[in-house]
Formats: sequence, C-alpha cells, structure tokens
Amino acid sequence: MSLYGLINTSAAGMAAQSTALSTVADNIANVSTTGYKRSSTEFSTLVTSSGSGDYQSGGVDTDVRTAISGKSTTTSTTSATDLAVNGNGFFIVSGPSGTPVLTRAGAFVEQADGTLQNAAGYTLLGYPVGTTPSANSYAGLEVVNVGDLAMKAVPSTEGVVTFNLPIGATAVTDTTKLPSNNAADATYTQKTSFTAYNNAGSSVNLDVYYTKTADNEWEVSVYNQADATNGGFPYSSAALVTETLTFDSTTYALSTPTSLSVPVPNGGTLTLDISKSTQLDSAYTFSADVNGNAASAVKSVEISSDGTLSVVYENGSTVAAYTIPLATVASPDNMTVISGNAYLPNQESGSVQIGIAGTNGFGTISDYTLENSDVDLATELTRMIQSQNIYQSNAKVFQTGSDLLKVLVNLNT
Amino acid sequence: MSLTSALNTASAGVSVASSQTAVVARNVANQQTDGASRKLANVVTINGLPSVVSITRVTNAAALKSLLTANADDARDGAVSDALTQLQSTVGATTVDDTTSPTALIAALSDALSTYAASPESQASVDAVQAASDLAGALNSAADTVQQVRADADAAIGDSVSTINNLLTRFQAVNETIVKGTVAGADITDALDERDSILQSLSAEIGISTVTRSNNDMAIYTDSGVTLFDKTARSVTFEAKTTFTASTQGNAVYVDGVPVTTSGASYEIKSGRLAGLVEVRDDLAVTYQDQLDEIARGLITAFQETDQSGGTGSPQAGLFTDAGSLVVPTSGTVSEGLASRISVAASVVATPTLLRDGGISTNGADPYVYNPNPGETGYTDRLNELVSGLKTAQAFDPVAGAGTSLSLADYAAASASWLGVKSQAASSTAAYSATVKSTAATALSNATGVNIDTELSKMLALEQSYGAAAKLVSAVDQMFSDLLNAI
Repeated sequence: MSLYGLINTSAAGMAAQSTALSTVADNIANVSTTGYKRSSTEFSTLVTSSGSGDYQSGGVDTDVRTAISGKSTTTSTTSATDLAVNGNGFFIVSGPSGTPVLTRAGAFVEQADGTLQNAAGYTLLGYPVGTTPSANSYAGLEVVNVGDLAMKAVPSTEGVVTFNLPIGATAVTDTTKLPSNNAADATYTQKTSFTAYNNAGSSVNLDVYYTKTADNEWEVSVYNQADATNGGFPYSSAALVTETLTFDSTTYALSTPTSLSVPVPNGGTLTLDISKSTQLDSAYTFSADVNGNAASAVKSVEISSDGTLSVVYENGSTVAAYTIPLATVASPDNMTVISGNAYLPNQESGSVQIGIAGTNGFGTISDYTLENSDVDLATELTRMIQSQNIYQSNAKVFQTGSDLLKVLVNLNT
Repeated sequence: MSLTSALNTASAGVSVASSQTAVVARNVANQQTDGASRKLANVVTINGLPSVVSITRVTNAAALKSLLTANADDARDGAVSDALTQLQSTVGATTVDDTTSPTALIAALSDALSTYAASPESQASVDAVQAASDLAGALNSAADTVQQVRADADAAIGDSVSTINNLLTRFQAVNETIVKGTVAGADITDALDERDSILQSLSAEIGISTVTRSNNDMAIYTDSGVTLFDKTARSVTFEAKTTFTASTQGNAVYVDGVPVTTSGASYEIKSGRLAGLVEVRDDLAVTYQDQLDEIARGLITAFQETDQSGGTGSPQAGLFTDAGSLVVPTSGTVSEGLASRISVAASVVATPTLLRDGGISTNGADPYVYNPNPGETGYTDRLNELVSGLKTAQAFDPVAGAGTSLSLADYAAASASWLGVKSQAASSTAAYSATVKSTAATALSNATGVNIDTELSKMLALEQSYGAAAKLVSAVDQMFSDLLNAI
C-alpha cells in the first residue's frame, strides 16, 4: 500500500530534517566555543523496492558528520597558556578518568596544583624535557605541572669576553710584582671585574688583571673579588687562573690562548671565549657576556611554536621544562566526539600518531592564541531556513497522505 | 571565508586601531617630556588577523653615545672652568686699577721703598712696611683661597661619588625591569627611556662607555675600562678630607677597587665632573699654590740680610719671614705652604727704620746692620739695594711652571698670566663643550623625539582605518539582521 509508504517516507523526511535542525542548533549554540568543530548532516536515499511499474517510496538516511579536521580562524588573547594549533594536530589531554583524548580547545589555565586545564576540565599532557617520545603510543606522557618547577639557579658555564689592551702601556718587568704572585704591592696595567654565578646562584664578582709583561705579551690573572683585601691585593687565595696572552706581532690580534677556563668558586668551570680580543693603540675596552643566573621565583611560562614549555624566572632567565606534543590520526573526522570538544580515536579513525609540533606534517603551536569555533552563523541560519522549508514540505506530504487515508476510511460510510 | 570570520577580522581591525591610537596619544602627551622617545606599535598579521605584538621605541645608539661623551666632556670642562674663575679672584681684576694682586702689591712695595729712599721722613718708612704687610697678607689670603678651592673640589668629589652610587642603584633596578620585560615580551619602552636618562646623568659625573648584551642587559664601564655595572653595581668609594693645607693630598676615588683618579695610570678616567674636580684639586690648584709659594720664597730671598761684618754668618730672613723663622728657604725649590705662612718680621713692624738701616733679623744688632751709622736718615744704599733686588733675576723651581729665572715682579706677573691663560682656555673649552653637548642633545631629540606633525597625521590615518573597520562591523550586523528577518 503505497499510501502508507508516503506517510512513512514523509515521516522519515521530517526526522531527517529535525536531525539537520539539531545540528544547526548545536552549531549555533557553539558559535563561540573555543575549538568547536561544526557538525553537518548528510542525507542518502533509502530505496525499499526496485520493481518496475510499482513504485514503493523509500526514505532518507541521515548521517551526522563532524568536520574535526576543519580549519578555523584564531583570536589573540592575553594568556600565555592559551594555545592554538596552527595546522594539523591535536593536543593530548587527559580526561577525568585519566584516558588520553585529543582536543584543539587550548584555553589552558594554571590550576592550584600547577596543572594546566582547559575550559572543559581536560589536563594538558606533555613530555618532560629529555624524554624521547614514542611515535604511536601515549607512553612517556605526563601531566604538565608548572607548579613543580621551583626556584632554580643556573651556574655560569660559558661567556664571551672581548677586550682591547692598549699597545702603548708600560710593561711591568719586575716579576715579583706581577698580579699572579698575589703580592701586596702588585702592579698591573688594567683591572676589570665581571659577574658570574656559582651553583647556589650567588653572584661571584671576578677581578681580572691585565699586566703587560713584554711587547705583545700580557699576563691575565683572575681572582675572586670576595678574597680581596680592601678591594685589592693581596687576595686570601691564589689566582683562579693565570695565563699569558700572546698577540700577533703583525695584526696585533690575540694569537694564544683563545679561551680562558675559570673555575668559578663553588660553581662550574666557566669557559670564556676571548678570541676576538686585540692589542691596538687605542684605549682599553672590555665587555663580558656571561651566562648563568641567580635563583629566582617562577614568573610565568612561555610556550614556543615547537611546543617547548619554558619557565620564565623572575630575573628573566628561561629554562625549558616540557615538550608539548601534537597527535593526529589517519582519519580525524571519524573520531568519536565526546563532551568538551574532545575526540577519541577509534577503529575507523586509525591509531594515534604523536610528534613534535612543526615536524612531519604536524602544525605549529601558537601561544596567546585560541582557535575559534568554525561555525559560520550565516551558513547556519540559511541552513535553518532550508531545513524548515523542507520539514514543512514533508509535513504537507504527511498531511496529504493522512487526508487521503481518511477519505479512504470514510468511503464505506 | 564567512560572515563570522569577517566580523572577527573587522573587530581585530578595530582593536588594533585603538591600540595604535593609544600609542599615538602617549607620544603626544609626552611630547614635552625630557628623555621620552617616540613609541611605535608594531602590527603583524597572525593567522590572518592583525595584532599589535609589541611596542618599541625609536632609538639612535650613535646619537646617544655621542651625547654621553659630550655630556661627560662638558661636565669636566665646566668644573675646571668654575674653579679657575674662583682662583682668578686672587689676582684681582686685570684692569689698570688692580691693587690687590701680588704683582700690583710687589710694584707698590717697590714704589714705597723708592719713595722712602727719596724722602726719608718717618711716615715713608711706615708706608713701606705697610706695603710689605699688604703683600704678605695678599699672599696669605690667596693661599687660603687656593686651599678653599681644593677643599670645595674635594667636597664636590664626595657629592659626585654619592650621586654615582645612587644612580647605579637606580640603574640596577631599571636594568632588571628591562631584562625581565624583554624576556616576558612586556612593553619596556618607558624603562628604556628611564635607563637612557640615568646614563645621561651618570655620564655627567663620570665618563662611561656601555655595552648592551642579550635580553637588553647593559653593562657600564668607565671611559678607562673599569667596571661600574655588570649585573650588579660596583661600589664607588671616596674619603673626603675636611681641611686642606698645601701639603694635604686628596684621596683617590675607587671604582671596583681601582683608583680611577690616579694621574697618568691607564685606569684614570678622562671625563666627567669627577675628572674635572680631580684635575682642579690635584693639579691646577696645586700648581698655582706652588707659584704662590715661589713668590713668597722669592720675597724672603730678595729681602734676606747678609753678614755685613765680613764674617761667615749665614744669610737671615729680613723684611719677610717664614712665620717669624730667620731661616732663608733653599733657593730654587718650592717650599710647600710658604705663601700661607709668610709674614713681615715683628721687629720691622715695631721699628720701621730697620728697613733702611738693616738688622731686621737681629732687631737692630750687628752683624746684619747695613747702615754704618744707624739712625742716619740720609742713608739710602740698603733701600736702593732692596729695590734693585726686586728687579734682579733669581732662580725659581721649574715644577711651579711659571719660569725658572726671572725677577720677582716678573715672576708674579708670569704666574698671573699663567692663571689667566689657563682660565681663558678653560672657559673657551667649556663653552665649546657646552655647544657640542647641546648639539648632541638636539641631534638625539631630533632622531628619537616626538614630532607632533607626524603623530597627528598618523592619528588621522588611524581614524580612517578605525572608521573603516567599524563600518565593516555594522555592514556584517546589517547582513545578519537581514538574514534573521528572513526567518
């Protein structure tokens, strides 16, 4: 009885459009949800009979799709932990049950316990610096905790020191008076100091003495300023390092040595690159750029485009702490959608692939940025008008079928 | 692209235009602020949207560097010039009616002696002794002035050192803000302006050179290469002396344990107010003091009395004495502080006629009496001898720098002219440095300062782009309401 088919078909049509309207409602509701991916409804025909001459109306099959792999625009924010993936890839976050899931909603906020959670309550996962990531499993991933990164001091290990020694200086010929002998009446040509840091993060001022001993030959001695007597000789302990600098007699550039190794008191060995130094007929100049820093409190975190999460200390130094990886699957659109703009890989989507942002087709990570919802309000509104019209038409068909049936039922009365 | 993203883009445009307008407003407001540089909002496109990523300022490292140098030179030359002007007061005005300088007083003494020789009444002898007293007094007060100038310079060095330490403390705070801000990507332009202005104040006190390192960290060295600031401020120390006499030597200023005011050493600073003050205290004033001492010593020598009996008595101080002592100081060597001690012998003050008769050192007793018949008013040989003694060349210490073999009168004139030349040179150098400084300041301000015309035209452009973005927002809004009305 094709009249019943008519009613069923139109009912299926109405159901299909109400699904479509549901996705429109979802999309409109999530126009400003960070990282939201638009859902759309695809229809396909459902044919029940294919006999000739006898038409049996079928129905419509609906398939809801979520454009998980779709790209959206981004918005700048003022928080360093607002992250967006620029290109392919998802952040790996842990859900309440601890299962890793994927998301592009990167509005992470530091919690009281130091973890980074996004608006949906998912906690960001990453590799502590130095861990080798596993490409196809979640092994090695840890909850990123910026609260664990307490004060740290970085002892000085290297630096660049450049100086010019005046060629016209008078040489000190009395070897007993050279600064290297640490005598009270030591005579020197030039003194400077620079600051290095020891293992405890204390600043150590190092006194550097340059003494011309002969033509093209200077002696350099480095002392710990804290050992000085009234700011000068004698020091209570011997020179940390003494070297003879030899300058080229034609170019007056430093020929040997090219570096100085200074054992910083209570610190590491500081290797100073002095290769750019000269001995010219010009005033004495000195400049030092030495690494290391004092212990200081955590000020903020900083995330670079390759996902390196660095801690910025109060004194301005930065130390890398975590690598935030990105994950993707072969067919992102087939992942299971769960609450909070998160997705679970499944059989159809393929297994998860993990990598470093910016490599192997993974996108880069932008801080101070959030991914907008990819919903376009205008498209959704037009889609809604369209669905409404189709729904009304289906309802009309249904009503017609129903009226016809009523006529049929009333034939015998 | 879609309507929603058009709306996002338009609102980003509005917010960028307003951020830029805020920067323009800040520039205009700071147009008259000293040391404020022009700020720029850097706009870049991130993911298709414009965004103000940072605020930077217009800088000119070369102009700042030359201003710092000019500043340091100006402060040094100014300090030297001021002190020399003060010393100039000891030689009086250079006009003809000058009656207070040693030169004028030596001439007056010579005249008084000649007058006494020509008219032997008792008043003339009193006048001559009075002229001698005036001369001794003038030397005493000139020596006092010199020591006062040195004491003032020493106190000013103390002030300068405490200013330097204050500036370095402030510098450390600002520098830390800048380093932290640079790492965190904050707007540090105001801190950079403040740091530059601290550098300008610092360079006026002491000549400096600076090195900028990673993260905008700055190290300061003196112009002789001694570290003033490297992550932490180095201590600058100085002990002022309360009183100055000719033999007092002022203390050196120590930076980071190195005496930076040791004359001739390779770590001696060359510019800044400190360098000028030290030059005055340890060099110019000392040399002038030596000259005054030499004039005093020359006077004692010129008026010394020799043994008239043919005996072997050593010459004795006559009219002028070293604070009453009868010893004649060694010829041709500076006797330190003599100018402040020289006085007229007490015996000649009591008995002015001793001037004519001799025997001042022995108060009228042999063998230093010149007049064969003491008391005879017609005797003028000694007076004439004294007058010609003032005009006879004698040996002076080359250290004092005003000549080695001159008459006393000429030596005093040479000393005055030495001071005049120094003072003249210093004031013209100071004027030149001041001009260089103001030119450098103008150059820096032209390069980095706010130009109101540029800012206003920028503002007009921003107004346009703000209006256009706002128009887009309203167009999108209109489109949405059209769509909603269709439902």
